Amino acid sequence: VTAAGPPPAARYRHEAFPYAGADDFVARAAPLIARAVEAGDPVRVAVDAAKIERLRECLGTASASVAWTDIRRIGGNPARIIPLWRQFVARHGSRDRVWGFGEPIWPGRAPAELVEAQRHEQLLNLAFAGVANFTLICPYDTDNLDPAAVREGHRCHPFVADEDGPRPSADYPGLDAITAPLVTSLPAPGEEPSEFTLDRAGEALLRSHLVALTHQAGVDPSRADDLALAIAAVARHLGRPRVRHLVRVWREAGSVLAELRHLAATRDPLAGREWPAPADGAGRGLWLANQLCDLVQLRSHDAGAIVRLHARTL
Amino acid sequence: MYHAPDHSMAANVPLLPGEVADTNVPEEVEHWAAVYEELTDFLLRVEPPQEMVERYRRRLEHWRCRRAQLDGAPEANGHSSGDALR
Repeated sequence: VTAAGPPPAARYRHEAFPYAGADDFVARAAPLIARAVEAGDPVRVAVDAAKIERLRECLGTASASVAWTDIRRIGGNPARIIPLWRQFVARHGSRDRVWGFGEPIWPGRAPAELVEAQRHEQLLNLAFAGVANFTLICPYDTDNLDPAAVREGHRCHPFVADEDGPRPSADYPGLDAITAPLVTSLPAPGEEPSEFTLDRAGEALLRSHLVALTHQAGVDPSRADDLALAIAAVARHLGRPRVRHLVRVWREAGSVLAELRHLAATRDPLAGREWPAPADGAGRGLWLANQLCDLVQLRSHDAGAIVRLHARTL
Repeated sequence: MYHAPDHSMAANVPLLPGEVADTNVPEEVEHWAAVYEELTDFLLRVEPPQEMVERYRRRLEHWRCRRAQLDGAPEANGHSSGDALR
């Protein structure tokens, strides 16, 4: 079942699905979902709550056979989305075809979130490259997204499904290029950061500072604990031996941010986005940080890695 | 004798981003149980404030209980499962 034409070959399919507003989305997505349900294929739909409601109305009784997920709740931090698909695919591993509709790029995403969500889209090509029975269709709202975000959507997907059906994307550069390390620098802090040394005395001062910042922002002080724990996890698992690491902390655009620099480089593009293997220290530190924070940004180069952690206060 | 699971202990404990305490999505329940198992394990290797330890421990209990409910198995806290899931 695809938008038109023959069934897909038995390999992972990652399709961009440009649509012009919610009406167009429902009109084109509902028949695809209905046909997959009719074929007995497992389907998970991870879009926003409003579109879920529209689709459920349209599908009627068939909607009971679909797993629904509000992507705005699960995917605020896009690094938490791959495990959701991984579990769904694993649960239905013996099926001929498993269908996912996932919309990680939505209008109004903060700039840092958008960059990481686009990175997520790129890495989906790698994460499921060996999962032959999985088709993942990613809607892009061309009416409301910045055109640059739509163009990047075409670049991130090997296939694009428009009203005429799926076709190879002319902009997809291939797996190696799309999963190459991010080279874009993180923007400079919006205000002068406070610096703390990650030793016993510095960690106590750091926690007090985080508590003060979250208190000033009027959010639960537990968010300070979450951020402090994320910092500790990153420092422990990506810290270099015999190096006293520094952490910079500042507030910006409704978030408290913490940044660790001069960390050990990691070459695994999926580090922190998959369940960590027992021996995967870097992956474990980043994975924990991704559960504790609203956003985690990793830039890893030969010289070392930078990790920036975001805890939202709005 | 059947005892309804008591989630009230965990009800007022602050949640992590994206965490919904009463979700019935099996993948989410499994995910959060694993998250809190990892977090409480990691806490053993650092020296956290006691209230932080208590918060994560209570959340872990909550998710283990939810996982047991969805599995239809006896709960980790010794209570029987059986209350209707939304």
